[in-house]
Amino acid sequence: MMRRLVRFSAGGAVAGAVASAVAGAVAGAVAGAVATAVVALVACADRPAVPPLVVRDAWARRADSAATTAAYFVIVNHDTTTVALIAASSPMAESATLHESMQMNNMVHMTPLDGPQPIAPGDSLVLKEGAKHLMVSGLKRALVAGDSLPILLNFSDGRVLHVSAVVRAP
Amino acid sequence: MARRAGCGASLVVERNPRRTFYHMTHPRLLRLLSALGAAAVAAVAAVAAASCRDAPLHGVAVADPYPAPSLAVTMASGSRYVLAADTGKLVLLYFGYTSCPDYCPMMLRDWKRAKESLGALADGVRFVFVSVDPERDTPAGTDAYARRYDPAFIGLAPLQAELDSIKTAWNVTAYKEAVSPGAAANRYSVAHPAHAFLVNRAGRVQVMYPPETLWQDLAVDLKRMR
Repeated sequence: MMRRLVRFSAGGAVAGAVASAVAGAVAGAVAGAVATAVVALVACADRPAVPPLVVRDAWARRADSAATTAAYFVIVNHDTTTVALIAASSPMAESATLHESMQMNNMVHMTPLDGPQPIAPGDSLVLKEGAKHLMVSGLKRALVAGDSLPILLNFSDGRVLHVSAVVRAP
Repeated sequence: MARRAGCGASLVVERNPRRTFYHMTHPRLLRLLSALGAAAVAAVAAVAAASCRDAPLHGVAVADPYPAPSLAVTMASGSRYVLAADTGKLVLLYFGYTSCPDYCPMMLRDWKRAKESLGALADGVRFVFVSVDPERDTPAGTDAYARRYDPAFIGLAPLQAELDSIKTAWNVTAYKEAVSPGAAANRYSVAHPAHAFLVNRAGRVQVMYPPETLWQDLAVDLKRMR
């Protein structure tokens, strides 16, 4: 069953988290909190209905301590202006850098994506297996299934998003 | 839940939720539809059965399977893994590295799923992960990395000199890629072959499996070739 985990923030503060079995659930329409075994929807009435930047489907692959792993998520820009992802980090790792895997001539290559990654209004930056991903190196402890990996994303307009990636076993 | 139907896979027919509606209003229509449906299913099954007998394997078949080149590496335990000693088994071989964040875990995960679906038949299959990163990977670390996916998986870390001859013999390429400016020098990635090699029971390289191969398809092939 697909499970979505969404955390969003404005100005660096985590506004809420949406974990829903219902695909495409829209956060922020409800003031208050509804919590069931599978649905936890939290939103604040004084926040905009749709946060300008949304990170969804964040997950990371389980890994041993000191190892390298990958985190995947989708950043959706609901804002009216282009915003660029300029840096990422995790308090649980030495480094977190954006990379792109690709196949060329029967070889697998990986290229660091060093520059800002612009996301046009209404557009998304998609990190997924076999493509763009966040390479997380030098883990300070092992990640086991069910853990969460905290990730900070810095954007060109000064915004910082706090993402919590669910750790999954392979 | 959609399921791929393939050789060795069971054909799953979904229940039509509207069937009850037809049943209530048009019993004869239901009978007609049922008959047509049964005929269609039978026809599909017949075609599938016929094609399974000589269906091509998934992956990329080697036109003229060639004897697997030599591969002999000292394991973390101190004993030596010798590919030739596995003649009579199927051997899947992947060249990667343990700090590979994306493709190697995907391949090992697919192997794990395929192996699990084989049950006891998996005893006839060897899964071998060979590190092409002698600078950072150790025999113990590579072994642990592979076994994290399945205790029966083998992880090998040849020394640089051993790796050089393996690469030549297997005609594979692997090299360090440039790191980002400002990144630590030991944070390099390694370009490595995309596909896994399948050595058949006669010790010949018979199929290459690209990373996008579905684990279900791999499992079907392993069952057919065992």
